[in-house]
Formats: sequence, structure tokens, C-alpha cells
Amino acid sequence: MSGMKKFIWCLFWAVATLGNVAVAATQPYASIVIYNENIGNGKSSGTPNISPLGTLDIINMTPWNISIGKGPVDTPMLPGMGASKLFSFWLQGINTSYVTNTNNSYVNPNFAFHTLQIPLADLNGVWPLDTNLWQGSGDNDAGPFQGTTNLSTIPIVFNSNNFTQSGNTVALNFSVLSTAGFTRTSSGQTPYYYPATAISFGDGTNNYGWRSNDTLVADKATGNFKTNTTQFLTIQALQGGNNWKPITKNLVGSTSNKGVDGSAPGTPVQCPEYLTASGLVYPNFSALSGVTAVAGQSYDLVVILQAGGYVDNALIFLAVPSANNALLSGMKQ
Amino acid sequence: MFCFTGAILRVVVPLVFVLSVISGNVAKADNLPITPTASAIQLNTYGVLPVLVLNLTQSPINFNVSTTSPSAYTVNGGPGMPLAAGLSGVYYPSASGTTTTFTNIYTPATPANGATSASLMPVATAAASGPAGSYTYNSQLNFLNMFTLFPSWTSPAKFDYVEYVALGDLNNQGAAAYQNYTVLAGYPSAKEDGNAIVKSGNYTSAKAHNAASPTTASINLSLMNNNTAQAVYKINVNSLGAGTPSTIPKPAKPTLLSVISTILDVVSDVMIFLDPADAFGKAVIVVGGLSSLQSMQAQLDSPGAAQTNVPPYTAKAKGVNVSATATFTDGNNEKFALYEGDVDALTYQVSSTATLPLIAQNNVYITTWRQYPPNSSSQERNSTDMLIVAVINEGVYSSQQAAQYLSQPVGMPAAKPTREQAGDATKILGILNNLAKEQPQDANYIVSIFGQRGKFRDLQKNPAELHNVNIRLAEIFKKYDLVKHAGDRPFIEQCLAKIAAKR
Repeated sequence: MSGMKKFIWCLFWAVATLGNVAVAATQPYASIVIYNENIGNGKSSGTPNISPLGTLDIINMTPWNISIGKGPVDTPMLPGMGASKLFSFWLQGINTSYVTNTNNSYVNPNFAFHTLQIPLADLNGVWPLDTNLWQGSGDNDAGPFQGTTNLSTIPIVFNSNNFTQSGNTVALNFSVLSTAGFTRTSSGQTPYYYPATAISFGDGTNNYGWRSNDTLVADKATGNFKTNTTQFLTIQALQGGNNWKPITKNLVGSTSNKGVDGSAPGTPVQCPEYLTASGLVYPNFSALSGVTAVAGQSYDLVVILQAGGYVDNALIFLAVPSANNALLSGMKQ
Repeated sequence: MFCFTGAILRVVVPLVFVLSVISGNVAKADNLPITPTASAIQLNTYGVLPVLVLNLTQSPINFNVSTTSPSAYTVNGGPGMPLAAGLSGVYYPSASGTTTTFTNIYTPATPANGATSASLMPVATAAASGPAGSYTYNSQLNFLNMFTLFPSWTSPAKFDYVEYVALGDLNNQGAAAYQNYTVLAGYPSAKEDGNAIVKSGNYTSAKAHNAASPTTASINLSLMNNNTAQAVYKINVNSLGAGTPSTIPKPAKPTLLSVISTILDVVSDVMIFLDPADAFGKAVIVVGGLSSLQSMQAQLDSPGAAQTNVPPYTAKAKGVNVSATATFTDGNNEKFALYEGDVDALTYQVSSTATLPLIAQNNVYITTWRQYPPNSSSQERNSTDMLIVAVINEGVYSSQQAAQYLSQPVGMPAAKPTREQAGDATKILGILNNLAKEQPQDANYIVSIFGQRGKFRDLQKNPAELHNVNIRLAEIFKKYDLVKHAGDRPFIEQCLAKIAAKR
């Protein structure tokens, strides 16, 4: 290969590689609103009646160890999630047994616990999360928001008990976003309402969402709604890329017409029947991880976000046999 | 594909050993039974419920799950939201509220037939080889299932004026809400004047999950015999709906440890009898599920440990509880009654004025595990409820306890389970099944002493009574029909020698 050809080849390779990196920045995701009590269009009584009990259930019903947090164990994370500080932890796979922390000679805090129930912070206020975001000046369409908006993001690594990604792991980012209204800088204008998405998902590039009058968030200056709080949970691929597939099994609801802002497709689309459950699936993760539940069977890793009236919020990890995984039927590819 | 990792391998070997060593020696609560202080166990987890179910009987069990609110799960008469998902697959209720029968976790793609392939195979079965009437433990460990139940959905709340919106690229902080903005999940797409979505007219409606109304989701365990259901044990997960909860009672007495120990009495024998190759190659998930039970037992039995679940937190809703009922179709006029327990754990027993076949003499246990992990000093970390359901046959349990007693050195505490003892238990089970057909009064006596409701635990404190038990056991073994069951002669002689040593 000549020097020039080598240079062109290397340039091509570099562009391709960088291109992959760029593509990797937009990853499959799923997101739901988890709290919108009393957020309405000003005419309703606050429907839908979403009244979480102030708890997040994290449930591991898989054979895989799952690290949750930035690690190592006991490093603080998600300060707004617990009544006090919540620390990085890992949940043992349900096929694993007694584990002793040899470093500290005490039983692993998550020994025999494949689940965790976390009391949340005051749901009537903005969670004191890691990052306070400020968006725009609040006086034009390009930057319409100015208000308290907080975000925390932590990694979740599957098939790991040390928070480290490797060739036999996949990972998600778990984000919590919390906001209470949006402030305009100028006064005397017509009150603005900002429709937030109740549910959204996609492959990171081609994404879909549904917003509602019941998720309209009034600007803070409107007064009556300024104490409303809206919380969102999002999972997004961190490792595994487009092998993560959004669950769209519940896309069997009413047909929706095109939306405003020119955002609708050319033809009507079906709306999810429910807007309070979403998730991602990593097909046949047992093959990648090298860990399965029963020999000879392949299992998908299913991650579900769930909210609802009078129930706990939930982040659920399931192992579902690939041969009998109805969650993937109808999946939007 | 690898079936297990080195880490799991390292874990399974000591697990089998630990199960064998620990179980059987853990102190159980004294003075059982006690009058039940609750009619249902109380959960602290609402909207989702992990479930572990075990079939520790001699019969296959098929099961499905059902809901009294099918409309909350179905869409246009078809599958909508799952009622359960787990190692067998994903299960949607039909318009009438019932799912299909769960497959066995070892063969998730094979429909359960209730005989050779049931949702839960029996823990002990007639041996394919050996003396006629001999029994063996299930080496496949396919008597267990784990799944997640979604029991609470009722009338959904409604999202009005729902509008589709295409979203732009997503950065790693969340979802863009409008193609021109790179903002966060759920973040508003653009300012709207008043009810902009209404003005556009481009809207539909959708639902939100809601547990506002009472509903019941049931795990329906059908005890099979000759491919026909003999009984259906219904584990009812009762969601009580919106409203103010009444004061949640605290357990009157710690029955949780007793129930888990009872389950492990049988499981430990099965595990120690298991060929390690089976555990490594086939049963990794089952070993893990059983190890969880062992872990629970160890924590409950640790010095100073509270032997009850942490109390439920004060909820805004009425909560969720679990109870059981049963129906019978085998013509034996059985009754199914709550026998003992509290808000942590309940035991139901099957009884009849008639002499029941041994395979019909089952107890149903329901309990929930909800403990602080060790070294956790606050409610910051708590486990969610895991519902544990076990059906235990009196023949299986009595045989295990009798074998343990016969192996127990005179004047010494209960013997640690050994492979020999586990083998003895299966032999006694074969003899007990024969006695139930040929000398039912003798089988009944053994069950009355060593059964789940037997007197054995109390009799151990009374040497005089134990002496009488030994005399009666010797009589039963001497009377056993060794002409008909000649293959049992060596074992019967061993039993008689062990009894003689105790007298």
C-alpha cells in the first residue's frame, strides 16, 4: 500500500470511527413522567390521578449482578432519592449466593437482597439532585425556560458487581429530572403552558413522544401552578448501543393525529395505551454475559420503568426467555 | 454459550454445603401452632410484586394467574399490559382475566401438560429404577418458579388531549422534546398559549396506570393427579385501593423464621442429594432462589435479629395483602383452613373428616420477605416484599423429619443433614406411601408425629413420650409387609436397629 493510500485509508478509518462515536452519542432510551399530580390544563381537577407513595422499588429478578451508581460501594449518589443520602450499591443476581465482603469482613450489604425499596424525597418539591439546569432566557421560543430544573444521572451496569463495564456487560444511564414550573424573565405576558412529554422513547435518533394537556407545565409566573412539580425517569443506553430496543408492546391505543409544530409524521400514528410504563430490552443478554438462568435457554434483559396512581414507582429488571418474550412482539425497530 | 460463570461455580459448591449444614439446626419458634392473629399477610410493596413459588409435594402443579380487573390489562379485547413476567415468559390476561398456564422454567417454550411437563414438577417422585415403590428427589430442581406480578391495576386514569410529537436527537442527559431543541426528557417542547393542544385539534387520549379501586390478582395452583386437577390453591393478592389505611398490625409472634425453616427442611435434603453436575449445568437459577431462602433464614436466626419483617410504612393508600383459598374436585370433602400465622406468614392446612390420600395432605405457606439488609441502620435501604409461596406435602415433610430423627444420635441435638439422611428420607417416603394404602392408620401416626403439624418438636422435650414413639415406630416397621415389598427389607432392618439404639 502506498503512503498516500495509507493516509487515505487512515483518514477514512478515522472519519468512520469518529462517526461511530458521534452516532453513539444518541442512544436508545425510554422515559416516563412519574409525577404530575394536580398538573392540569386549568380546567380539570388534576387528572390523571397520579399519587405515588413516595417510593422507588428497584427489583432484580435476573441472574445477573447489577451495579447501580457511580461506585464504588457506599459512594454517595442521587442525593434527592433518599430520606438521607443514598449510596452506590449492587444487587446480586438472583442466582447467586452468600457473598462476603473480604475487605471489611462483613456481609455484603446487599447479601440476599435482590431488591431495594428507596423512600423518595418530598414529591411536592423539586428533588435536590446533582445538577441544576438553567435553560434559556425564558422569553423566546428558542430558549423558553428559566427555572429550577434538576437532574441526576447514574450508570447501571449489568453483569457487574464492581461498577465496571467490560466485554460481557451492558449498561444504562438512569436519569431523574425534576422541575417545578418554568420562569419567564419578562412579566406582563400571556401565561404560557409548556406541554411536557408523558412518555417518550426511541433509538436516540428517531424518537417519539406523547405530550398531554395533563402534562402541561405552567410557567412559574402564572401563579396557580407555580408549586406544581414534575418528575421524570429516563433510561438510556450507555453500553450496548442500538442492541437496546424500546418496548412498544403497548402501542395499541387510539390513533393520534399529527401534532403541532410540524412534528407529526405524514400519517397518523398509534398512541400508547398507557403513558406510565416504558422500557428497554436487550435481546439474548445471556449470550453476551455468559450467564444464564437455566442451561440451554436464552434470556433477554428487560428493564421496565413504571409509575401509576396509588402505587410505588418502579425500576424493574427481568430475565425473560427469548423464546417466549411477548414484550418484543410489535417492537418498533 | 457458557451456562455459568466461575463466580457462580465458586458459589454453588459452598451453597450446597451451607444449606446442608445450616438447615435443620436452626431454632424454630416454640409452642406452635398459635392462633392466627391475622387473616392475611401485609405487604409494603404496591404495584409490583416479585414472587417465588415452590412445589414441595409429590404431585405436579400447573398454575396460571388471574385478575378480577381484566379490562385494566386488555386493550380492544386483546393483550395489553402483562399481569406477570419472568422465567417462564410474559403472561397477559384474557378478556375473562386469566392467563395461559405457565410453562416450566426449564422448558419455557413447551406448553405445560400437567404430567410430564408441568408448571411446577413435584419435589419427590416415584423412582424410575430401584425397588418398586421407591422414591427419589427431583434432580432437575424444576419444582420452582420466579416471576414478577403486576397485581393492582384497576380503573385507569385518563390523559386528555394527548398529542404525538417527534423528538430530535437525544443527548446523554435525556430526551429532546422537540426537534429544534436539545433538551431533557419530559422538558416542554415549546411555549404554548393557553390550551394549545386543544386548539390544534390534533389529539387523542391515553391512560395512566391506576390502583385506585380494589382488585384481586390470584396465583391459581392446580394440584394434578393423572393429568387431572384435584385441587386448586388460590393465592390471592388483594389490592385494597385508594383511601386511608387502617393501622397496620405488628406480628404477634415471629412465625416468619418457622415457615422459612420448614421450607428449608425439605429443600436442604433435596440440595444435598443433588448431583453437583446438575446444579452447575441445569439449576443455577434455582440454586440461587433457594439460596435466598437460606440467606433469609440465616439473617432471621442471627443473634439479636428481629424475627419479623420491618413494619410497612404509612401509606396513602389502603395497601396490599395476601391470603389463600382453595377448591377441591377429588371427592374427598376437604376443607382448607388457616392454621397459624400473623401478618408476616400464614399456614393453611387441608383436612377432611375422611382419610385423605397422602398426596392430598398438603399445607400451603404464604410469607413475605421484607428485611433491612445487614449493616443498614435506617430505612434508607430496605428490600421490597418478595412473596414466597410453598405447597408442602405431609408425606414429604414427615419422611424428612423421621429420617432426621432416626439419624439423630441419642442425647444429642438434631443431626446435621447428610447425603445418607436425605437418601433415608426418600426411602421412608416410599414406605409411607405404601403404608398409606395398606395400613393407613400407621401412616397417619407417622404424619401425626413428624408432619408439619406433628407433635415431634414438643415430644423432644419429653423422654417418656419419645420412648412411646420409639415403641410405636418399631411396631409399625415390624408390621410392614416385607413379602410384598421385599426390596425394603435392608432399610427396614436399619431403621429397627436405630430405634433399638434409642430405647
